[in-house]
Amino acid sequence: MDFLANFEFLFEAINAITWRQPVMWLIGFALIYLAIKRDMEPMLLLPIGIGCILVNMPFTNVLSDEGGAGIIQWLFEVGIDASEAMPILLFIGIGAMIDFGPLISNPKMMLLGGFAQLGIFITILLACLTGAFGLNDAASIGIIGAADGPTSIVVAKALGSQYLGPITIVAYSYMALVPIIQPPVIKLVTTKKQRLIRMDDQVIKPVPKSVKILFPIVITVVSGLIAPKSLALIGFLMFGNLLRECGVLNQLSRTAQNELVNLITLLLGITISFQMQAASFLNVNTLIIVGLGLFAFVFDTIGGILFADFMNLFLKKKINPMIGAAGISAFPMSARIVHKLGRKEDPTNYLLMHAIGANVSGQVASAIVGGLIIALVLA
Amino acid sequence: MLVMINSILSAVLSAEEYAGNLLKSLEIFWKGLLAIFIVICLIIGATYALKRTIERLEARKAAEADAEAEAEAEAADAEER
Repeated sequence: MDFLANFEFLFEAINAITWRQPVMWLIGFALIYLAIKRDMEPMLLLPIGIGCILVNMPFTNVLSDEGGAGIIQWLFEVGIDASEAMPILLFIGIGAMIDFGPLISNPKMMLLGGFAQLGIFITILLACLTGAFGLNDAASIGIIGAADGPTSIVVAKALGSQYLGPITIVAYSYMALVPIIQPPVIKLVTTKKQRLIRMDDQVIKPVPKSVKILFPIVITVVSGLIAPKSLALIGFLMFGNLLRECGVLNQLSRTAQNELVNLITLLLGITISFQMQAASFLNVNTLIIVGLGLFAFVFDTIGGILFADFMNLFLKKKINPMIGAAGISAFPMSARIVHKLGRKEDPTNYLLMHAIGANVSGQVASAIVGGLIIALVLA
Repeated sequence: MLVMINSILSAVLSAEEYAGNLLKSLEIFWKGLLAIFIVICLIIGATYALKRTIERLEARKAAEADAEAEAEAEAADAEER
């Protein structure tokens, strides 16, 4: 027995394990499984999954090291806590990937992007109604409806939400599930006649290069003046887009779209896992957040479709209401889903470019709404 | 007795906080939707203005280029004669 006492240090961590840690390991394994086997947002879910396992091992130097911060805590403090650097820098890459041509050609599609954020506000109300969350947490949960990981992280961090980890997981998981969530909701809220509406007569005209260059600058100035709390997200999104459109920085644009996005995504997932420690993650509120997140996505889809119906009351050239569902920020998945549903009803109906216009507007609108929510809650 | 009064008070305060949060969330609901509508209308207006300005500038440039080309063609004709 005395001999075994010499090896106590080998069993310290094992003795410290409670029921919570193995549950979190299982959650980590589940995320890794979904990432690899089901190809669900593998770039985020796999690092989050492995991070979840790392931060739920007792007495490691992953969270704290010799009285200071361990590597994951350091990544969180520098990459997210300090100034939400990682998600904001990611927006440079996202902006560099977006072609605003279809939106500039038909700017009224921006309205669909705006009203496809309805789910965010309804979810904030519902989260407050449950009585389980304070206003800051409710607003952070509502922003899951932005269908945009970086925006969700920035808002949850800015509002000091204690549910940053579950909110991020839920946001990215539902983004991966958009092909499953949206089609039944679209079919529920539209009629066959509406789904058959063609938009061939609404030609997407080519946009002059100078307009494509000035557009990100104009959006930055307008958003910055009217919704200043959104400027970090919108500004960096438009900076990335300007790199793409200016025509003289192709190398930087390619770097932003590839190396920058890959590098930040690689670190972001494992950094977010800092918030997946068992003590804060495993509670009933996490399950409520999962339910509210789904609600947000569903009502985003409904909001976009219903507003398209409303617009059709005044338009001579009707919009296919399914385009409204593409107004959520899940780019370009949502646009592809709407196009696919349109072709299912009528194989000759090409809605893709119109849906992309609504989809990119959702990207901009969700970032603006994030800033507006920060301003309204902290007011 | 004091413990009972304390627990009743905290329940009342929680109810007040709940009501306060609910009212604030309703305020965020209508203000948020109105605000996003206003911002988007401004962006749409700015986009249309930008497109129109650039199209007019390009049309003017094209008209000037056409006028120049015409003038050159007339000068060339006059020389030939």
